[in-house]
Amino acid sequence: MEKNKDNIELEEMKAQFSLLGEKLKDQKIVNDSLLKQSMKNKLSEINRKVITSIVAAIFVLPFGSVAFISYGLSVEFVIATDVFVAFCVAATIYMHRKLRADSLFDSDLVSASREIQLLKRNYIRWLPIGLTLVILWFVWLVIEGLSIGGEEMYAFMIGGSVGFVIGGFFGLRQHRKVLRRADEILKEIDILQRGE
Amino acid sequence: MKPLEKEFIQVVQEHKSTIYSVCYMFSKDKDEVEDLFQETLVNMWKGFGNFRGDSSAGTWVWRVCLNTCISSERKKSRRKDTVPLSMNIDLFADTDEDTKQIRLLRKRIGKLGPFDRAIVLLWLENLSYDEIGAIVGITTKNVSVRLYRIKEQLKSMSDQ
Repeated sequence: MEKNKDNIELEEMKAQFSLLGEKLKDQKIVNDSLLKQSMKNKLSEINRKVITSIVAAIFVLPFGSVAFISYGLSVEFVIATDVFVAFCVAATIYMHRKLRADSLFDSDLVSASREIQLLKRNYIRWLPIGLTLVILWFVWLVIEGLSIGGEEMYAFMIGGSVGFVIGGFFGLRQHRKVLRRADEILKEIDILQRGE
Repeated sequence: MKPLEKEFIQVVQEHKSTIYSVCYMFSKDKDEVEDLFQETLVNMWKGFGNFRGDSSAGTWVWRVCLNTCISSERKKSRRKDTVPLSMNIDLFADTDEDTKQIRLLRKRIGKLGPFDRAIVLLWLENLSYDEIGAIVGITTKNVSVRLYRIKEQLKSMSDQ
């Protein structure tokens, strides 16, 4: 009797779902402007964060190099900075390489989620390395800044410190955001795998 | 219009009810449904060039739709370019008996985790365990085990 009651409830759910289908059957739902808007998005092979990194690097590299040279910083420091920025961009592209919008959503849920799991692992591994390199770079910047001398040195130090703090804040915030999303999905994978 | 675009529109029109149903079950209000629906269409378009019959169009639509809904971030603000859907019903506000039943279903399924919600939606669509497994990415046996647990969970919700 109990089993019958349970089956009836599940059948009710199927009936309710079927009602939803019936209600939607005669609805237009999709209009021309919706289709046009969806198709307007260009097929991009890298996601927004990676594009932002590349754009920032393209801006920072020449502008930063010229600014540092005009302040009289060493060529070694300028080259090291350029290499560091280029390395960061390359690392970001590498970590996001499998999260392509044109293929990620086509795969099954578990595969898509596993790619995000891998992204999280890479982000966690990268953080201590990145932080260490940034701190070393900042120390070198300070040493280079001290060699400027005069009043320009103070302006340079203040500007550099403010930039370091702001950049660090936004960088860490972005890092945490990505990890939080990945954690939500990892929880689901864990539950799924425990069911196997 | 290019042949690829025509084909895409045809697939969307054929499966619009499925896409809406899934987005509805993963949303809390009308704005969110519209956002998710458009997000799904965008992801379908992005992947459409690569989709060439490895699976049926229906299976592919389910995959993209579920992936989009599960992966979407709970945006605090809407997309700037969201286009309203062409509907003359409001499944969040209408008070007829059928809509109330549909809302009851959404409320029950909404208490499940995203993966479980995906599985139960596929089951409600009367897909086989093999098909469900292929879309979600787990074995048929695992589908059976998961569904049993989900059904028990849903029954316990109605007992409360």
